[in-house]
Amino acid sequence: MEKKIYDKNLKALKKKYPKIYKELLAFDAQKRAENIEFKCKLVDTRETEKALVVKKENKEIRLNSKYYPSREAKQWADQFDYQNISVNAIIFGFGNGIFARELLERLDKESVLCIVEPDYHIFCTMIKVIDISDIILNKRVKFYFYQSDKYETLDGIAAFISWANLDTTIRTNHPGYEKVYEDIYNEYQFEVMKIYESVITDVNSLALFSDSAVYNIVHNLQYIKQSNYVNELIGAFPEEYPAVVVSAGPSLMKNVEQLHALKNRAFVLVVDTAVKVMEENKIPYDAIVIIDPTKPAEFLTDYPSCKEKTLFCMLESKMEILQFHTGRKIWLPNCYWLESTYKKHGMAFEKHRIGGSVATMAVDIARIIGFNKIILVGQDLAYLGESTHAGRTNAMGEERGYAPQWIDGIDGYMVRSRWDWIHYLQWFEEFAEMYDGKIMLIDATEGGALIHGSVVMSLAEVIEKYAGEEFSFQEYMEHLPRTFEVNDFEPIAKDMKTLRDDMASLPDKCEKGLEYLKVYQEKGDEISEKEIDEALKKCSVLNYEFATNHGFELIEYGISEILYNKLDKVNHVSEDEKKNKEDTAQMLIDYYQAVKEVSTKITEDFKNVME
Amino acid sequence: MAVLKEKIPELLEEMTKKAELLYQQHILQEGFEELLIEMQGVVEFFFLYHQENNDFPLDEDHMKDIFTEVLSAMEEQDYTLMADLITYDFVDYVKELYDKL
Repeated sequence: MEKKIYDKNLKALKKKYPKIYKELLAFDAQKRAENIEFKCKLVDTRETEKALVVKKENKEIRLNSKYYPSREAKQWADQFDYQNISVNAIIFGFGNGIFARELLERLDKESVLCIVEPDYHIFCTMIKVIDISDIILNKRVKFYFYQSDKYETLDGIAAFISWANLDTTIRTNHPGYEKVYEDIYNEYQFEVMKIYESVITDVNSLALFSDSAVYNIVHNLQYIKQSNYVNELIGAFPEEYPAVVVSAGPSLMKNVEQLHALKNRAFVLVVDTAVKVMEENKIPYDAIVIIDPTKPAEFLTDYPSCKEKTLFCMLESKMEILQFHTGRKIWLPNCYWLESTYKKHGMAFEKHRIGGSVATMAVDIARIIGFNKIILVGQDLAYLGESTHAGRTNAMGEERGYAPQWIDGIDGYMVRSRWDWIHYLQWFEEFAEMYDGKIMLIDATEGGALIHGSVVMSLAEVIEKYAGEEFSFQEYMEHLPRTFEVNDFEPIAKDMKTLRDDMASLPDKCEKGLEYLKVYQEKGDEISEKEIDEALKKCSVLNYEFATNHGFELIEYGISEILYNKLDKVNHVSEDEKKNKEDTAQMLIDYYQAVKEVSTKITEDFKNVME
Repeated sequence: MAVLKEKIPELLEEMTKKAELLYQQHILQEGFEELLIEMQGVVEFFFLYHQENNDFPLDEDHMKDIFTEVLSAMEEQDYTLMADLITYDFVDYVKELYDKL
């Protein structure tokens, strides 16, 4: 060990990654105390750079060229495309840092390099012999140790993957790590693919729902004053009181009658599509969850007796439903404007784990509120014969091209599911794993897919074992003051007016932008480089005004459907600089036209609502 | 089958490019087969030439060893080692021999 190098690396770690620093020291101490076998060493090569060799199960695996490691690293790094805008990179495996250095040299100063080291074994040895303090302290670098904190690692990766950089982000592994850490590598690959799939799902959902969402937000602002938000229910329930999330899977019909026994003995939270079953069978329940901006209002409006129930909803939720509903509304996190405005005035929403469905939202609501037992009913995530939902068949899945897939069922047999349900199933499984020991996720569906990590029980057993003491949620809500009976509404009202005024200024700004770009519209590719530079310079000043315009997130909702396909290649850059500028000009024209169209409509809606 | 003398520089360039792909962990089964056929062709050329020209400084054992090591690295799926052996042992040695033809 070279003490000077070790101390320098530790100092850098302590400064930037205090948590990793502590874990590393503890790991090193444990490794020495228990004499843990994991040999790795640096061996001489034909150049000054040494090669890292790891011994695994009596076999030596070399992680660098035994001849010229630095040349190998350069040739390896040359395979990637760095030309595009905001090229980030994720590398599984750090090794002796040589590959990471080559990537850093090629990435631009705004890019991020995410280094995912599986565990501390190799790193612990390397920091004693190689000075990597520059990499540790590099502000473009983020280190994660997968086995130490899998979810922090995946959250970290998810944080910088977006639809705009999905196919320009370099995703790779240090050669050889896939052999040394085969199982972890395969699991990691699977998890990262899920992140990519989530981004695609979110973008598709956004594109599908955006047009409705933005108008719902504007219309639903009027309900803020008389509502609550989800954090205000934290600690509302007695300890050990269970939450039951009722979904509309085909198995619901089997056991729904048993829910009578849970009246005032559990918090019964019903997703929108299950309200029909509860109402038609006169089953008592406490609250409803809706999130979908385009859900047909008839799911609730056909049942007038549900209008007084407590409603967990988002600002984006279907405005006709919120209009129909006269009971207490409880806001959920999602809308950036609502979250940031509330936070600004001392009311921060608890962070929400996005799952993509109303049922995953309902389970997360139960987590946020503080339940340590969450029971799923009607959560099949699979077909029962041809049935997709309780009492009906929804052919929409097949029409949308969701090909059926076979997965584990709760009774040991395979069951038929589909792509979007499997995505939710994975969310539930991750949830069960992440909160293992803190929250018991019980699957009392009595049918459908097996949610690995959940406790499978019949609903009758759940009732016998976990039904809580008598507690009336309805009475609790009657006494719960509204948010703005205890907090001042004036600052929120002021922010709403700012939102309205900023929105109203956008159409004119867009006109200005289109005016700047008129020269390109008239001349096309005959425009000179000087002319296009001037136009783009003026637009960049204007774009900054957009970015600082309050409520701009609402516009992004509205335009994403219009621009999704056009902006898909927004970060792709060719070698022809003038062509790149012309492409940028065309994108900006499309952008300003879309923003103008949406902001003009929203401004009109605002007038009606604010009055 | 032995290759023609004029083809050797071109083949060495091809092998170097394939070795580069190996460093980049781009592994193609067809690529391996082609590579081995090319190497074998070159080896056979020099063996035949050595038979006809006894004073030609070919170290047959050294050539065989490199070829065997490449095969062994391929079986072990150590593609970096394969690339090293091809680039710095085989290609460099063959270039040395070619200059002496």
